Amino acid sequence: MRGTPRPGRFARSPALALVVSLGAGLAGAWWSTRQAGLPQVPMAASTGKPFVWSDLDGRWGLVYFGYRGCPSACPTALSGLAREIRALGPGAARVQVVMISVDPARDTPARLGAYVRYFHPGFIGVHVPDARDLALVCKAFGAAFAPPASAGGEIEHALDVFLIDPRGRLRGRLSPPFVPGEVAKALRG
Amino acid sequence: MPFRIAPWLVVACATATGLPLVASANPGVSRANLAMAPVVSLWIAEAPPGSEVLAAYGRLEGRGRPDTLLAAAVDGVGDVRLHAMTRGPGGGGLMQPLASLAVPARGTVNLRPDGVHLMLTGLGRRFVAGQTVRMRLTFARAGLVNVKVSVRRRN
Repeated sequence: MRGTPRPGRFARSPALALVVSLGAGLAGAWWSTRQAGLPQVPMAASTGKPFVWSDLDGRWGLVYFGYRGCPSACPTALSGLAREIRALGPGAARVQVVMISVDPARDTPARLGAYVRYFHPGFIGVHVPDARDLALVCKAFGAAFAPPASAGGEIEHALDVFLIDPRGRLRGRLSPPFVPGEVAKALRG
Repeated sequence: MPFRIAPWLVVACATATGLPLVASANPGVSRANLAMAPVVSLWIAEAPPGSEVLAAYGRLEGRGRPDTLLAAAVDGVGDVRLHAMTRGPGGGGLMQPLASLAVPARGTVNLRPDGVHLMLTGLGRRFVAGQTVRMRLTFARAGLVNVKVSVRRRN
């Protein structure tokens, strides 16, 4: 049989291939989250899929912490982001806006989707179901967050938009309302 | 015979000059009082889907006499309150209720998302961009002032 091409180990062992591919995936996720220092907790995107930080790899991530019941700050920030993203033209494909809900009890992924798409069809909402996980994520960003003092009350949350660069590193924050062109300038810088 | 202005004339003048329509509904307020009432230029931001609160922004401009906004009401809205955006204990944003808002004699107060604005809750219907609704503002000196405000999308 010498000279006959032999099937590779992967082809001969589906189980090994699975283990290796799973390992590579985990390593990728680990590398990505390690770069940004962001905790990989269970999260759901408004697209209906799980959300992991590596979903943003290769693009700029503009991350905002807000909630649907927010009277003024959140709609103002998101409408400003939508205007800035539209102004980027084709460059908008390199940017992903994400709103992480600080009100997971009321903001389901589906409701978040309808909310963020009102501002821009490319925006996604992210739901972190566990309150402790949400606090971890906020802390990793340095984003202020305090649950309401009473049910249905106002939620203290960060007003800034956080920038994650295409390599998964936290690069800074922007404060709405934005001066036209402010986001484009930040992405260039 | 007391001096009276026909309502159609008020509407015509407001339309011609581009000024917001302002009229007093308070029978105890004199014409002079109304003439010195702050100029009200407000708009209501359309709420995104699922949101149960609205905000109103714009400006109040003094017309030679200081005044104070004490209250506001909007048709189809359960409650209208003055709020100021402040920083909470953790450094995040929080709304601080305000009892009133001073309008200087010769100056403008801007109502804006990152400052003082009106918050509308208890919505009895959906407010959609393009609609015009009636707002009633109560000033300490000018009394009750009716204005029409438009509903718009944020930019």
